[in-house]
Amino acid sequence: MNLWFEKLVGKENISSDVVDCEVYSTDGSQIRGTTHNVLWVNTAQEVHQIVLYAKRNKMDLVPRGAGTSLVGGTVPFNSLVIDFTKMDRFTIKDDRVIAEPGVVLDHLNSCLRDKFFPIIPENSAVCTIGGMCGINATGIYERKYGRMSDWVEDVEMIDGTGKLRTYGNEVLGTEGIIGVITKVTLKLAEIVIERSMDIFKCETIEEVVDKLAHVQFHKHILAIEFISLRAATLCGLETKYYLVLEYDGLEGDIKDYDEIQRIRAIRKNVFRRLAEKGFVYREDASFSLDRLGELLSWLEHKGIPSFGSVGSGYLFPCFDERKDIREFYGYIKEIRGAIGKVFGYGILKKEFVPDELKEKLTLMKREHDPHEILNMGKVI
Amino acid sequence: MASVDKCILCGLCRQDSQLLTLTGKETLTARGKAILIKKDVLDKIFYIDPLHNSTVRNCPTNVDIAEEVRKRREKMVEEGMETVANRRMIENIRQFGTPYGKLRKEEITEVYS
Repeated sequence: MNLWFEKLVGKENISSDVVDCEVYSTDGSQIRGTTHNVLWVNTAQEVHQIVLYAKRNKMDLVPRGAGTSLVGGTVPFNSLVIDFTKMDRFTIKDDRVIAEPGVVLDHLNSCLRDKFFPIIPENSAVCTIGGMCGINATGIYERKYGRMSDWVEDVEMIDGTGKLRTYGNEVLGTEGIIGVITKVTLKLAEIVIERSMDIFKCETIEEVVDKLAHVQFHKHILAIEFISLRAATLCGLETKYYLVLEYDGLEGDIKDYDEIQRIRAIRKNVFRRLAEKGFVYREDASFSLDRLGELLSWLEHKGIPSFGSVGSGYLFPCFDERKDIREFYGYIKEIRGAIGKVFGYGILKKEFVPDELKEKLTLMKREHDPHEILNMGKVI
Repeated sequence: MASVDKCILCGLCRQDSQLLTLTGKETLTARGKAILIKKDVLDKIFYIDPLHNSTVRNCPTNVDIAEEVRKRREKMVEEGMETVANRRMIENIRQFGTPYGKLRKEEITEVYS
């Protein structure tokens, strides 16, 4: 087998070495699997041949970008892992970018001048376009720009039957279980030149909810970010609840570019500060805004720090022990919230896949990957 | 600075990995090393590392991976798993005060004092 792969991708781009297999057996979720081989691919043709090989030999394939999944989306089970780091080329054509799956988002945006790709997750410095398509990623500006599916024009994908086809955005969010993405056409947004911010420091949860109700329909809002009192205290900020509003215009009181960058950095470093204090397990909860008050009260009562884009209905509570997370899941179900809408479902959150989505994915899986060779054990 | 046990495998250290840019291989990143150290693996891979501290800058849990790799190298030397190049370099330093060994006079082109 190795000889066949060596001929295909070159000797330096395949490894069954125990050291490589150990490293590629896990991802950001810290779940451990087992890797059969690691392949570093350079072209779509190589990927195509690998899929056909896997189909012939009934081997599981795991496509991997930066391996930052928090839900085990790239954990292999005696699988061939395809690393897309080397497939990182892109072409800019007017207001479109044709990108390979290994393109890193921040790198792409740094190469654009008067346009940008507006779906910016927190780990934009490392996350890849392929991975973002896999979970139909969202970002800090979801309120204005929506999700990945709103900015992907088409996707070139090799499905589990070995057919290379171009799809629309309906294949986004399938977490690599129906096909391997080889190229994506992205739409670009006009760069926002005038930005401003407002910061509201609230004493109580009621004040946060009131303020949010007051500002959430403001038409120039790009993002409404929140830092809980517990999180603010752990981060060394004033002991208050924070609401940070970002506008695409000069509506806000903070207009100075450096000051905006400084606030953004504080917000971006919240998880880092919490992780330093031992709150290393980050969860994603989505909820209707009328339940925000209840959710925040529950989290504060339990001493769980949280932050997130409350304007988009997302909150990221952070835990120091995995065992506490179960109780949190139970509470989210109680308030009819959802888990997994930001980080995806992977292995860890399969139980939270909504029935409708599960049904849709099962049908797609049956059609596109009847031999079940792609990303075994994930989502469904 | 924290020990490698604190590494949460988030992958944020990938952004500063020059070896990743050059080779595309996760094994050579700080996270790759952390996974191997956690598993108590001893391998020559620990000698392929620039030991720069930029990875620490982006680590949310402040793991000093460079220090961890240094410790791993020490352990490997103790267990006789040194590379030939490393052994020769250390012998040269001990004997001649330079990792390059004895230099001939014509090879010394510039002298700084």
